[in-house]
Amino acid sequence: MARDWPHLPKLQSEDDAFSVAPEGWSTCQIEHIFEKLEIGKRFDQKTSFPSGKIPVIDQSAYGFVGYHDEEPGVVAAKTSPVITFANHTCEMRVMRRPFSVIQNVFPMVGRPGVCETLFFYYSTKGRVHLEEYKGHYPDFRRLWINLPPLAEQKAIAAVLGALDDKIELNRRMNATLEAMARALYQSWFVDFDPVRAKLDGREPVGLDPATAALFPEHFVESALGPIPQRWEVCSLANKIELLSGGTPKTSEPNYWDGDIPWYSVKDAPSETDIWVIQTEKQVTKLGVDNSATQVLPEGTTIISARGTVGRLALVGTQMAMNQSCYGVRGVNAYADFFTYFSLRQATADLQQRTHGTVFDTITRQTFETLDYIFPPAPLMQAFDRTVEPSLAQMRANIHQSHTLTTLRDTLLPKLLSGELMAKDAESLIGKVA
Amino acid sequence: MKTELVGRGIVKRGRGRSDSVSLVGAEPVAKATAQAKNGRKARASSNGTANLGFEAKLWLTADKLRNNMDAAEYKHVVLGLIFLKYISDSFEEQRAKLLAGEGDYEGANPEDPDEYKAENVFWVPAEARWHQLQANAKQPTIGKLVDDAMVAIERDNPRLKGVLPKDYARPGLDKQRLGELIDVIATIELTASRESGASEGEQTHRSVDLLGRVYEYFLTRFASAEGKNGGQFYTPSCVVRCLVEMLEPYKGRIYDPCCGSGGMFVQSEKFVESHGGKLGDISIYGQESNATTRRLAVMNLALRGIEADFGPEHADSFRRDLHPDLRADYVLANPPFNDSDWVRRDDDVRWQFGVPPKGNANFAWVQHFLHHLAPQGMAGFVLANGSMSSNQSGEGEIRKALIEADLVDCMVAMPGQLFYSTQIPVCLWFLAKSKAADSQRGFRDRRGHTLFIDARKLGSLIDRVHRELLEADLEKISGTYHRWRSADSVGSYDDVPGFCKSATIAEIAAHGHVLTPGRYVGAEEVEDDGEPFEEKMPRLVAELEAQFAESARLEQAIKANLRGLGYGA
Repeated sequence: MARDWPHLPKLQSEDDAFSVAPEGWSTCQIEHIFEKLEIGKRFDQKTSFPSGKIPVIDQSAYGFVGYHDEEPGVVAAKTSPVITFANHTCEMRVMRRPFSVIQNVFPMVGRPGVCETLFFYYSTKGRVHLEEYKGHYPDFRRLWINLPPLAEQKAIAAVLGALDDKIELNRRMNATLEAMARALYQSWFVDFDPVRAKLDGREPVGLDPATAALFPEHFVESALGPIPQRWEVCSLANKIELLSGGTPKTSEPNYWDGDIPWYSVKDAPSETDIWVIQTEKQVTKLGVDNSATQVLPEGTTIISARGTVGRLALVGTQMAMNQSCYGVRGVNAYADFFTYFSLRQATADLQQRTHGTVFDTITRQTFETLDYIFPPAPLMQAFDRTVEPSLAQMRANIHQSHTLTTLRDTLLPKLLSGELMAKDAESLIGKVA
Repeated sequence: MKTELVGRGIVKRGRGRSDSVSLVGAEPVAKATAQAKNGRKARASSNGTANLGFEAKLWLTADKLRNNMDAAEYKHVVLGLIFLKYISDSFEEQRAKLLAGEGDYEGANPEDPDEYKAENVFWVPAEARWHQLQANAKQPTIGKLVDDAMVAIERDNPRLKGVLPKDYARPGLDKQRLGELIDVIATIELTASRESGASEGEQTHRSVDLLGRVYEYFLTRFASAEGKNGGQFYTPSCVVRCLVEMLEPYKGRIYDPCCGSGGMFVQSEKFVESHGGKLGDISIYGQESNATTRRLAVMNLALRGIEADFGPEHADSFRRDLHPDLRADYVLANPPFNDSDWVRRDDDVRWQFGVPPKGNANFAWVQHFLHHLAPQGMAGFVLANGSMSSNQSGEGEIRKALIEADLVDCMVAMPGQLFYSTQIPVCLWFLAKSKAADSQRGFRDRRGHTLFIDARKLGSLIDRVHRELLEADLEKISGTYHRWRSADSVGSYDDVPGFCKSATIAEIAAHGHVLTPGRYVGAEEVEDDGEPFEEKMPRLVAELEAQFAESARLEQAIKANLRGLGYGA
């Protein structure tokens, strides 16, 4: 969720420094207060592998290009983080584990005794903007910042760092919750574990008796191989209705910047977040009324259908969407979360069935050609009931991360300018930790 | 081919050539072959386009001289000169043999044009010989001299009538740059070094090979430099090779009714040669509607000593079929994509499966190909992806009729970004007039069956926007098809989820007669993480517990921090 924080003016010279800096603070160009680290062996896309112990980072903001099992180029740890600056993309990252880099990624730490590494990160991140395709490192080195005493730096870093840590934790927590829900779907509806257990005369694992009773004890033959008794094979299209989207006229200002989020595939959440609760653009009620789009209820699954096919999102708050997507709702008690996870299961197949002259496309007809195995309605509902608390927690985490991000971005300029002093907080943090 | 040349020790180090090629003097065959292979591999991984380093160098030099001229215009200037150099050089080689007057040539008259024609070498009159032009390259009259040379060659060689470009004297062509260009082309060293002791036949081989390669390389580079042009795109050589490797046209009549610069034919010849066949095992029929492109094709094939029947002149295959009675063994083609501006006669005998829509010629081409196939004939061609699924204006009906007539042998979905100036995704169609068993060609009875191959994941990016199918990709695609159609049970064919599937007509009907391979091959089998549910859940639960605890701690820390800033209780 982290974006460039937009709050600090670009300081070109000492004169641009904050006019009222507290006593004891100095203003300096950052080249004097950080140390560029040796990068060891340099890797690239081709020389790194899909898995391994040491990640390799490139110039992007997230993720790794690959891994390797050799000596790490840069040593970092939880307590001694390393900052990287990407020469062309201007992306900055905090690394807390040993890593290696591709070219044009520069690892650095604050100069010991002068500058706290994390403080350095917060006071420079997002300050050099991507302009044309050239090296931005010289601009970066010459940034001016306000430099408080070391204790204050640590305090500022602790305040902002705790917020970022919690945002990151929420992301990981969602990944865990998502993995649990998906494992349950896989076990019940793909591997048929409870049916197999009953067939063997075992008790199904981890099911209350009422839910366990919903699973049959036998398999029957079907077009898609053996399926649990009384389950059915039918086309996906029979179980869902598709809602379409649209774009209000962009030339009509009254249709835009309203309070209804308007989804496009750009807003798709990561697979492990599932929910979408906010979008880059918003429309007005008038815009919805005067275009093909409609307002999708919470719990609708959105699937992208043109260009990028098969990105999913679960609607976490009522929203409209553009015409490159379908909203999918189950019909006849076909439950929301079950719908989401069965589409997730079907995505690879849907992507295989794309057609289109210029863009890959799926249409209503594509859903008709896809046969799936469906359990009886009570089982789908049992699944929804079981995963509901996890999914609710995930949504709450996303909301919380938004709040934390806003809080961080509000505090950051105040703390860096000295308008708000964090020093007092330090002792408290010590007590908690 | 090159391996052969290198092996025989004929390609030697020359001026301006890159060392990346194994140009050897008299090294042992085995070693030289290995070097050549390595060389090719290295190039394939560096830029994928299997080219000699020196061709690229030559291109850079020539392109520098292009200055502000359009690539489309400059193409004809450069390719015309390369052709001139080629026929002049091969003439000189033959002349040298005649002058030496040894063996068969004893008593031959080097000034008798018939002595050249007998050897399939063009007669080049004195004023058109390369050294003559090069000597005058710095003269302001060089444009006129080149034109005169072209005219003289056409006059003495009826086969080239109307084919050579003759507008080098036009004011728009900077004469100084033209002179420099001639010097650049002159560096394509052809004349075999007399002292290398290479035999005569090999010398000819080498000329054809080198200049042919340069010509082809330049065609490709021009294709990427030129803009879009009405749905017509130069077919990248990996796509042509894929068609050829699939069809394996060992011998017989090969036909391309929209042949462009003749790339299909050149690859077919290469295929035949690399499989031990000889020039002349296949006969070639082409047609091209664009006059200047047709000239490029004639030159392209003449450069390689390939005889081809392009009909008497340029013409549109729908308006005027230049080979009305031809029944080809193989059709290889890349017709214009989704051509919306074509001339249709409603009662045309070719529309056996339904009248194609006026707004899209795809199925007109398909039926044109079928019309020209011999009873055992096969066609392989490139079409835009829309052809596999479109139901507009009766196209669905035509496709259905083709499927029900059991003509569709194999469909291949290609990866995107293969073409130079368009991102359009394409597919390959393979039609067979007869799918019955064919013991001569080793085909099994595949009636009622169609092979679907989804090759969209194959290929490697050679730069940010261009992808190329490498040797292994081509082998994977064509090998799958060959195993599928082979009567030999050894190494037999199996469906591979996500890649290939043999489907029946009934299955295709169930999919609404849509031929998109993705529909049939299904999704790739996802590797299970192998962790049983009973173990996975406790692990995840433990992780979650730890995260909740961490969350509580962080919440406390944040609250404390905020209090420290004067907010909150």
